[in-house]
Amino acid sequence: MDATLQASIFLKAIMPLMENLVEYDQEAAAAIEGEKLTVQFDIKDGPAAYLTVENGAVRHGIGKHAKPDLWLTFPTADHFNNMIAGKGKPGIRKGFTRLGFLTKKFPVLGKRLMYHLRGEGKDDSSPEARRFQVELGFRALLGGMVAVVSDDPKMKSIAESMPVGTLYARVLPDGPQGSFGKVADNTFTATFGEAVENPNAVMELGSLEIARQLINGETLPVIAIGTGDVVIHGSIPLVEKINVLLGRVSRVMG
Amino acid sequence: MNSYQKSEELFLRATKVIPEGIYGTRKPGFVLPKASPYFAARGAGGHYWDVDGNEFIDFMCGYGPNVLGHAHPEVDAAVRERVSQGFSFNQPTEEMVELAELMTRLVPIADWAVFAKNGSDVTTWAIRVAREHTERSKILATKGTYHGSHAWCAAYPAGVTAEDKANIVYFNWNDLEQFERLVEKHRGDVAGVIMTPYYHPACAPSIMPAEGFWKGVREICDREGMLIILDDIRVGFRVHIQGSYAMFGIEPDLICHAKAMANGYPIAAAMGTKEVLGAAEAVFISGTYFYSPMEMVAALTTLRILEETDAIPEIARMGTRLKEGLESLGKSHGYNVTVSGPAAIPYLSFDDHPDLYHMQTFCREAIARGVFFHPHHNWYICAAHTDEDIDRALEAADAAFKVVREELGG
Repeated sequence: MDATLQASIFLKAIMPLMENLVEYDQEAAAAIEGEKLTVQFDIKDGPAAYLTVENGAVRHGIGKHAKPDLWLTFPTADHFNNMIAGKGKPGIRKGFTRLGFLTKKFPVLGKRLMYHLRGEGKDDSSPEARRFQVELGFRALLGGMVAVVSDDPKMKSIAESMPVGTLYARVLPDGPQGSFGKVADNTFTATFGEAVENPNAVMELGSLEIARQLINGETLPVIAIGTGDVVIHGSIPLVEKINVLLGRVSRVMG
Repeated sequence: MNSYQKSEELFLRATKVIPEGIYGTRKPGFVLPKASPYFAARGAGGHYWDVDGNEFIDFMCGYGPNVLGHAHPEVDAAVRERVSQGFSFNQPTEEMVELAELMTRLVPIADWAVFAKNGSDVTTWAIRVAREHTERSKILATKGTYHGSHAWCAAYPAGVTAEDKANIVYFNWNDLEQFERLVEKHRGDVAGVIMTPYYHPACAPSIMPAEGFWKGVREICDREGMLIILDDIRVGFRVHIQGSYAMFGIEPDLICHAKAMANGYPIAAAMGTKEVLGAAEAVFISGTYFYSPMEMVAALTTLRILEETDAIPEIARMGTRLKEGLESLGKSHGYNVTVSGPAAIPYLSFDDHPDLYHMQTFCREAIARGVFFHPHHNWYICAAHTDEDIDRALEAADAAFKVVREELGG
């Protein structure tokens, strides 16, 4: 698996979910209570992102922050991925005194995020928890697609050949909804939580449970389409290209 | 209302042992999930039945190969006779020579033929022959055209390396200026161009060659020492007994045939002029089943029937009736619909609704009425279709247009 792409998807699609996590998960919220700092994740010649923690909230940004409190550097994407997997340490360019956040608080956020994202508590979870898991997964896939069209050379031809247009996806009857589209050459957008008027294609997931199974990889999209649990209308060329991107994101995210 | 219960049960069984359950162009998502069959059972003439017993007038003809219709008695009898004598030998049989003789007579521009199983086999081999003949690397191809599933022409990137496609250069259909620019850019390294006789992408209308396009391509190729490879797999003998080059006035150096040459039996052919014979002899081609006389007998019989009967003009006549009927019905329901492509290979489109919602609803309703129209692919007419089939298809289309109007409006 391409290490840079893996790092890019984490930084651009997974890390932003921490914003939602601390709003929903008490353990995660407790971990950042009283914290106020900005952490920069900076891969040499690669992607960068930062998290700002303040007033019990997390804000994510792509690129470099003007004045981070803790500036973590990684000589390669592999080093970053190893740190995320708990197997390595970053270089510290700035903020040695704030390192405690990285060693004590950040792992809690990561652990709780994975708990929800992977549905590890699904057997005893509430309907709200299940919905939250689907919402996180939905957001991750949307963000992941934006990452792969910009950072994955293998997806370049798909991005180029994708017709301009928007796919609107929603979970029935009133679950999460979002969209992904190509606005113009090399310009892609993803939205979450908003209905789309006159989309070029529509993907309807029959229930929250189907959405959860798809996100967890318990069922394949092609099977859900065949059984009618997922219904697609509209521009098939657009849908087919987006399916390739989704498949790529899923494989990279594991 | 059709039931597809057995189809769906089979599909679920398939998902446990076959990647995606059904792969490639036959996957449910490419047609209309829950509104069309996933598994077929039998066919006769221009009709087929799915595993649930639903009957359809077959306007896909197995994605093209059934040019005479399902279970054609003469073709199948010839195959049965061959099978009774064995068909898997250590050497080729006489039928291979007979078929090459017949095809070079039918396709006078070509002097030789080799045989394989699928379109991808021969398109891939043909570009190698072009490279060998010219001692150059690059092949020009039109963007969005399907030439098979091998790595150099795969539509999707999974399992494909950049190197696999490094020597394929794409240009837009009918854009002779772009073609010329690319030839100039890669001057001295372009072996040839591979194209279908007209542009027939999935999910979009077919586009005929512009006036002078093929002539211009030939002139540039002659000037630059490049070859023309005609991918005639989808069109071929369905439109003309010499293949489509005769219909479109193309002068190819290499031609790839498959679908409409053996009425569904798996065989493909690459043909070429004597000028490229040396390269054809140099480029290795083989496959355990490439020599099987079973399919060659089917091809011999099919091509003889196409030559000796009025099958091809009848296919065109039926296609023309369908085209004119659909366009007229569309208009009567307030839609601008166009049936593009040759009459034998029609593609219906709602001109004001390129996103396919209307097309999908239309085909769903036609299929529910026993007429198998594909929402995303061109259709095929075969010689077994009757005037009654066309009448029934138009009757179903009339009802389908009405539902489209009710559900989606203008």
